[in-house]
Amino acid sequence: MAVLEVRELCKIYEGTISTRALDNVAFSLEQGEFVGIMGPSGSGKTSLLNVIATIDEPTSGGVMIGGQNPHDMDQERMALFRRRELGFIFQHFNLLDTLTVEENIVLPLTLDGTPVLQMKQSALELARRLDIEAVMKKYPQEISGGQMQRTAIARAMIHHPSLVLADEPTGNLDSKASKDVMEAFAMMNWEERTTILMVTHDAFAASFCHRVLFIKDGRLYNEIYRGENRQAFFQKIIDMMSLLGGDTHHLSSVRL
Amino acid sequence: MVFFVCALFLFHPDLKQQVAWNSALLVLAEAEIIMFVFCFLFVLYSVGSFLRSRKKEFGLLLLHGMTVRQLRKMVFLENMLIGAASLTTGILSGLLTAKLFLMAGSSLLGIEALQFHVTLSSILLTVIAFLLLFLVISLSTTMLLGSTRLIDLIQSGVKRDVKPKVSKISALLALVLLLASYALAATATASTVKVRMLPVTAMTIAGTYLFFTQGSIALLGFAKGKLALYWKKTHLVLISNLAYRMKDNARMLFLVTIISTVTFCAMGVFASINRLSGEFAMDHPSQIGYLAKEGNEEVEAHLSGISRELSERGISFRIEKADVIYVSVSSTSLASQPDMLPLIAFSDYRQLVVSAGFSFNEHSPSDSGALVLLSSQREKLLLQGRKPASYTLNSNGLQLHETGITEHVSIPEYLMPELGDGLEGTFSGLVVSDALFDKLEEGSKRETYYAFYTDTLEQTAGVGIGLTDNGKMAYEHSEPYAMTVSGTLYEIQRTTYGALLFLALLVGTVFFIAAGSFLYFRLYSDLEFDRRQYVTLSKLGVTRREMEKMVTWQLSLLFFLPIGLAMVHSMFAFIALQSYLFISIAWEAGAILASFCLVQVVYFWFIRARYLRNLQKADH
Repeated sequence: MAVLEVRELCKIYEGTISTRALDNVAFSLEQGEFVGIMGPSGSGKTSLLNVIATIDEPTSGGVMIGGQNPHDMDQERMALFRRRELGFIFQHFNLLDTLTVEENIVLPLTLDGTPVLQMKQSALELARRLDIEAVMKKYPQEISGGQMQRTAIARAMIHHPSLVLADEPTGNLDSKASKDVMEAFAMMNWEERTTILMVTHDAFAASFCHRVLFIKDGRLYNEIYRGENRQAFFQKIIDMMSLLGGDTHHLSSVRL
Repeated sequence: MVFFVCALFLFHPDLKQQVAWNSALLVLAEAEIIMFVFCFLFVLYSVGSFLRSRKKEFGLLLLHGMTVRQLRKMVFLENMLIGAASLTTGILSGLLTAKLFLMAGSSLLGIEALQFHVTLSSILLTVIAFLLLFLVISLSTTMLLGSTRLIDLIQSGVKRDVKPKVSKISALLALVLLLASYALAATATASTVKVRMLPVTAMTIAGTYLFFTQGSIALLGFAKGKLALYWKKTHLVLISNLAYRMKDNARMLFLVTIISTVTFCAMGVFASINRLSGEFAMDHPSQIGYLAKEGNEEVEAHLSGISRELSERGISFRIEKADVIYVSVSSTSLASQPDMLPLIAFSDYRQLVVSAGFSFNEHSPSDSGALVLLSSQREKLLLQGRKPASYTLNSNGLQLHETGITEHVSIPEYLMPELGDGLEGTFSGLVVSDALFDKLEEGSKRETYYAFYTDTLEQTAGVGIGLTDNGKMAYEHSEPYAMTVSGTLYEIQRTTYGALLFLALLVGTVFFIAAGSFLYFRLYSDLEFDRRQYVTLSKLGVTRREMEKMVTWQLSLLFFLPIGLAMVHSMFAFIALQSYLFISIAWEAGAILASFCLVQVVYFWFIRARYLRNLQKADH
């Protein structure tokens, strides 16, 4: 069964000039898939992610996550749904400054009232795998951007959500940190079979996905699969992006 | 606005015609000055905090080529405009509510209702004072702004250091200091309260400071150590946020606590003093008292003058007379060594007390014993606290031992010399048995006390103006007589205490509002940070109810911790004060604290609603 199913999704922003941000978008994600969404600025990537994340309402169409439609729920149950079924990773990390790395990681579990010992163990295990064990007792402003984003990954995955949503996870990182973070994504996806949907500008980051969806002007434009060779996949992504007329200046092939 | 109302009072023409206008007006003038100074500091603080939150904006303006000179001019004009606007609304709302305040004020001052009358001078005073205030503050804004280096301005703001550092010793010290000062205050007695007052106040202030800067954070640190408690549901976010807020706001919370404590105490004291005057009749048994000193040749003239004046007013009266003799003392066991000891006979004492309408059931002292002649009921507690003194008389070496204190005041204070001191209590002299009095009478200096008794004490207000200064002529003056007119004294006391209470209410309200506003400013400057956190948390799946619960907890701690602590402080202050007073002030103190509590709760719900709305604005 598909973990995520997006059906004929439309999103229109009302205003003096209404804009159609999403136009009949439909796709689905299977369990354990790692999918990227790419497109030029203003193509509707973020709108799509917001609707899937239940932060925004669709104008028409629907989203099924694990067989449930969160948009049918009331505010309270929607929040609980986000807490249990979804994991979030943001461009600006959005760690809580008042909490240590460890506390940030266990945050979703504490909200659900998990026993302390179990939280400690899960956090430690995740931190070890993401190589942030040494900074567990530090505060977010004392660690590097790469470490912050890996902390955010740990936070998004500690409660084994059915779907992890990532919004430009490498947007605020240098190339070394980007590489670390994307490898962490790939590892978590491979070892935990976590389903990940990632919106990105960055062809390098997208090249870690199994497949990449391209949208332009709110419509699905194309989709390409990775195959065996990441280098070749990266090249295909770059070609597709220049075809779309997007902002290729974001790319640098030097990274590979 | 409050300032303006006060000024209205100050310049009200009717007020000047009332009896004790000078003392009451003086108090009001003081209130004006206190309020002005406080307003100045308050506006300075708020302007400063708003400017700091706009640093980034200023940085952008400078970046786009605005000169520092232009920036200063802009900020100056902004402030002056805001100042002018608030001044206008202040005066307008003052005008609107002036009648209400005049009515409340006149009833508190105990004078007839004042006409609604606005003098130009009160408006002028307010306008000039506040224009000056805003001018000075606007001019000093560049100082408030601090560095004008672009890089500092643009990068200001976001970084914050949240690792709360705490020393266990200071946290413990805070606890010890507070507990010790509470214990000292609670156990204070009439004689020790004056000695303890300063050190206890200092200890409380220091203890409060340490409590907020160290103790509260240590407490939260302790809570963090208990993972079962800390890592449970929303506690994680709540406690860590609180730790940060406490650390950042410790000084402000400390200030709010101290300001509120001072306000509570002042208002409690003034409210009680107002009731003290209810006991006035106890201390003034005779409505007019006249003491003729030795060699006074005008006695007859004075007494007939007073009698005539009373008759002219149609007041019925009786006159009683008592002799006071002075014996010289060679040694006493008192700390203060009086040279001359006034004595009255027990039968005279009884006569005076009975005439005043008090019930009498005391017994005459023995021939070597004496009763302490009470000058005022408020001294009773102090006198009871000291050891009964004994006196050796100069003339015949006779020993007198105090065996008790008279139950009533028979001769009002001011009419007789004051014996004793502030620590041991003051008194007027001794009551001795008739036999002893007769024996000592021979060859002693003799003075005569005449007491006029009328039906009510208010009747005598304004009698004997020529003989007294504001209702009294104290014994210590070099006139050949001493005199008190209870009606006039009562009038003065009532208006003065009324004015003091009025002042305390006005200033207290200003302080209280300001304390609340300090809290609001702090919240406001944290809003941006909280909004970001709110967005993150709601994406992570924190429900709206959990969010509101967290906000409510944080705000209520910020609001009620300082007020609660201030209440506890003032409660102990009242307990200490109680030991000094002979009437109970529990009711007044309770009423003051309860009404402030109520106001604070209303204020809290108002701010909470506003704050939640502001937070949720960022939802989309």
